[in-house]
Amino acid sequence: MTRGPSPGAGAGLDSELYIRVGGTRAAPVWLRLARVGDVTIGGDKNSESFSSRESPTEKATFGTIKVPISFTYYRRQRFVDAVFNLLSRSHLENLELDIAAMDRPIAESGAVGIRGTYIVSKLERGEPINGTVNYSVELLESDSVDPDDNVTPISTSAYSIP
Amino acid sequence: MATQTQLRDALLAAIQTQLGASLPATTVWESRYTPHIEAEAVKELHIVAMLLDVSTEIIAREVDTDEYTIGLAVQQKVRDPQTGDVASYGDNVTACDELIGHVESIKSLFRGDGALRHQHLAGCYFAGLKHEMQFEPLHLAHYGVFTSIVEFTYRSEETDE
Repeated sequence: MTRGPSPGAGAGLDSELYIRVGGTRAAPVWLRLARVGDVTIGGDKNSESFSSRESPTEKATFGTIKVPISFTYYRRQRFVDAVFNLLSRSHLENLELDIAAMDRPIAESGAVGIRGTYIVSKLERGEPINGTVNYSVELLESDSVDPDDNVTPISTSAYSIP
Repeated sequence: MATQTQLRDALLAAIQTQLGASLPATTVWESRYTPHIEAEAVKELHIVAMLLDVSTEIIAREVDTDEYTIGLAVQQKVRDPQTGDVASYGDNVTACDELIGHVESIKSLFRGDGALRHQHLAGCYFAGLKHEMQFEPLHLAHYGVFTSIVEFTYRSEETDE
């Protein structure tokens, strides 16, 4: 019996990362980050362990979830790079970035991912002698409110395109 | 025109510009798809540029690193394949050592502060060289031709889109 190919897994190459550059939170205009390499979207959940006579096993109490976003970025050095300009401004001036990290192009119906407001916490430049100039970027969620009403707190949450 | 063919021709021209005056005036500089095999075709020194490998590595969602390998063959007849006569060309080792010297002159253009190390050609930058085939044994044994091939690796530089 010949087996066909095994079901594969989603390709990292097909995922997409966006920064909102216009519109409103409800009707966003997205700028795609095309020059990102390996992307990691963190998901550690804060917890504290405790033990009591009630149970032979240790238990945990859970708190908030940390959702940092990190990636490698290949900046255009000799040409205009609008994405890098935003990352740099966020790094230097704490500009808040409305970020969407999706599993496919955000224009496609059915795209799912997360969305939140972030500030760049690390922008590290590497110049490997045998490689390509690259930036190691990390973003942490900022304490932000909806810019449309300046009141509603924003937290990173699931985001999907119907 | 494909990048690899432009790079092949540009590399040959750049090396000829640097070294042309120090090699014999009868040296033939040419681009080919294969090295010469017939001894009679390379009685004079030949510097032959050839296409070898091309690879594309995905490094970001819309960024690739294209790597091109161009082979540069230094070739000359050092022995008559029919008669085994080496007298006309001096001792076999002497003739081959001289040709190795020419290869090292080419490589020195890319070492340290060499003139071509930082020179971009056809939208690519120099990324290293290999010289595994210091001489091709079958060419020497059967055809009397000394063939030494240096592989130059170039990578595509940043471009606007």
